[in-house]
Amino acid sequence: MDIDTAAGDEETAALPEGFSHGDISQRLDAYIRNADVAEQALKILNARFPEKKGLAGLFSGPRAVTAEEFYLKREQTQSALAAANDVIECDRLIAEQKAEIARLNLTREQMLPWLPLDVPLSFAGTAKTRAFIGTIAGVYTLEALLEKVAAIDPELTLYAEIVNTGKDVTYLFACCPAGMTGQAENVLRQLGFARPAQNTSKLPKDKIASKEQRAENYRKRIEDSLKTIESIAERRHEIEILADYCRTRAEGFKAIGETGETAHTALIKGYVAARDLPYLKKVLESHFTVVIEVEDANEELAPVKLKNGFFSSPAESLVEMYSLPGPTDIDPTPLTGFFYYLFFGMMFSDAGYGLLMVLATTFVLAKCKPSPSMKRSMRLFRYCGISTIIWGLIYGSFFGDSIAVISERFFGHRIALPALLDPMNGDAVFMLILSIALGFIEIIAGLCAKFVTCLKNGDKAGAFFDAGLWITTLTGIALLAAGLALYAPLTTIGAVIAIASAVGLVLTQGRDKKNPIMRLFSGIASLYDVTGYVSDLLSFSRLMALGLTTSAMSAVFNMLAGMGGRTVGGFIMLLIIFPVGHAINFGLNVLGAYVHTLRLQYVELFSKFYEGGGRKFKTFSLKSKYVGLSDDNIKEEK
Amino acid sequence: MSLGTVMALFGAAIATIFAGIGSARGVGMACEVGMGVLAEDSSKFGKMLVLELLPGTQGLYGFIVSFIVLTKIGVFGGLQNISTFNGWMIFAACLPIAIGGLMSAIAQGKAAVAGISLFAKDESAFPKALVSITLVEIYALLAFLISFLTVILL
Repeated sequence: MDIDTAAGDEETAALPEGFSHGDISQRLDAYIRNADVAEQALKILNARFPEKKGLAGLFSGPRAVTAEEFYLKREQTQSALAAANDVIECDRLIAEQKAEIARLNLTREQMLPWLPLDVPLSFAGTAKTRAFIGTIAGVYTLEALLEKVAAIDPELTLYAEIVNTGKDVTYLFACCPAGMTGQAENVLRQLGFARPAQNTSKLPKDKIASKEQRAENYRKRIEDSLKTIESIAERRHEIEILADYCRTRAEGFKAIGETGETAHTALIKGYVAARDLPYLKKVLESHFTVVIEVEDANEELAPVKLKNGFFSSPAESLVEMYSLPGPTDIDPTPLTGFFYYLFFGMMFSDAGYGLLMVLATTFVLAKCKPSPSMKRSMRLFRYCGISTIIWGLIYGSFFGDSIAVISERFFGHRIALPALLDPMNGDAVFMLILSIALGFIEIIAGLCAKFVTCLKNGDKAGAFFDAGLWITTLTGIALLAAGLALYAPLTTIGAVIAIASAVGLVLTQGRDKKNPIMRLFSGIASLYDVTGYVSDLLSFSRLMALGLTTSAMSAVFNMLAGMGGRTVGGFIMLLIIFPVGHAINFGLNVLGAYVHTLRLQYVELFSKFYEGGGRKFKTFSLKSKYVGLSDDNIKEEK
Repeated sequence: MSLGTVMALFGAAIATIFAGIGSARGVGMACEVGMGVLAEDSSKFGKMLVLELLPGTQGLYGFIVSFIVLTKIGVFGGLQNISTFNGWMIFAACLPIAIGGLMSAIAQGKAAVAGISLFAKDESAFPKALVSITLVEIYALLAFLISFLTVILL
């Protein structure tokens, strides 16, 4: 249902006397908690066992489910929640056990050099001997060590065994008669003797084996946990539904929290689009006992919902990205949509690329079940693609000059696509003029929109003096320019219109000033705005520049691809360079066209008449991430 | 090969080199910051890419001008002898996009860095960042138009 319950909105928040907000915080919290659990579990599942989706999956919207599947019964909720909790628990265990294994590996590595030793590390000697087990600094052979010992203390009787040697360290087992302990300790200290960090009464090889055994056990447990997670991964869809279901219920409770209730009644307030009102009334009255009261919304406060036909509705996303219409604005979508398609095509300007865009977007729309917002983008780019094809044909460009290059290089005679305008061969100046002329049309359209906006807000002076006079001034200047270039009599007409309008501007632009001198002065100063219009117009030269970029880069890649000529190597070069080169060119230029067309709309068009600042109509509906209710999707589209 | 041809070749070289250096630095700067933001939130990748690539057009403009010069002097078949005078003229025509491209791409890169920081803080500010960064572009565009029109009409 399309209702905006408008949290925190002054117009809807106030409750009449006798009504109070119901307490739902506990149930709300429970649903939010469950949704969080489900989402965390899904995150783990997606990280460990990602769902396989094809190329089509990239564009597809949420999986469609029926209402029966979506509205979970109590035991379904419990079982899905248990599964989600299992996933989280298993994931936690895995992390713990991995840490444990790392710790075991560390001790095992410390023990490893002692492996050949066949007494425990804690062995201190027999009744008559004293044993020393530990490391000494430096790498020794037994011979060298004994020599060194003899050099330090010739009297000492020391039995030594080199257990192992490592980097700058010798693992030593030494033994001396119990009576010589002091002497031996003295000698060993001078050699840099240190006892091992691990002091255990087990044999090193047993100790190592037991560590390995324990690590192995942990590894098995990790595998078990992974298996558990994998088995739950098959039930991923249940958890997805759980997550969305709980979020939706939470959303519902939040809305209920904002409604008022008495012992026996509930009061719900919200906005609904006028066109949806009869349907809403019908549904409510057929299902519930209700009293419905309708008021016109306060324009200053009401949220905004755009409504456009099939041609311009895809461009709503562009307007939304900028800012929705404020209370004084008109909906700029039809205007911006038309110019967006037109200019995008002019910048991308290649029939082959346009064809690819149309085919790809049509494929996604038909086969991938995209989400509503993805659907809107796809339709936007389909219109842009059509426009690109048309401009491509005007410029005679199909993957650049590929037809000419390939026919010449590989089939001997050149067949070129006929071009109405060829930027690379002399029509460049004309293209520049065309770009600026189209820019002029968009600016005038923007000023006309300002005219309409002013009239709508009852500002007649603004409409005629601010918008109207500038329209005539600019038209006069344009006629003057056209007259100079094409047809002399236009010059006079243009000059007369321009001068008359400029006088009008000087007389009217200072109309809010009381002092007549100040009024005249700000009138004259307003003519300085003409520089703004000039820079706006120049900005449209990007229409030509980006169009050129596309065709020049295609030309380069085509030339490289055709360089090998009619040989086996040449064909291989064609097969490799052509697709790769055009893919690069497509990517770079589609981005450029998207961004720069957007800029022309936001800076050059919107600055003329559009304020923005409207609040979006936030539908009270399923805010689903993973699944979509099939019935509701249809409703959403209407 | 005449001195004129050599000068024209030098022109083609500087147009690609300097505009390319500018764009490489601009895009590089923007990408460095962009990666930092992506490390926090990888879902911003699509829009981030748009902001990162904006200082890249200058390199393309320089490249186009070079390409037209190269076709003009017949590097791709039948090298022509260009008079010394014409060679210098082509060289001069390449200067605007070479220098204008270099400076504006770096300036645009700095703007892109700031725009990305803005976008990272507030996702809804994307159009504002986008528009502000493209404001720099106009000067690269003017340089390109002058170079392009001169080269193609000479």
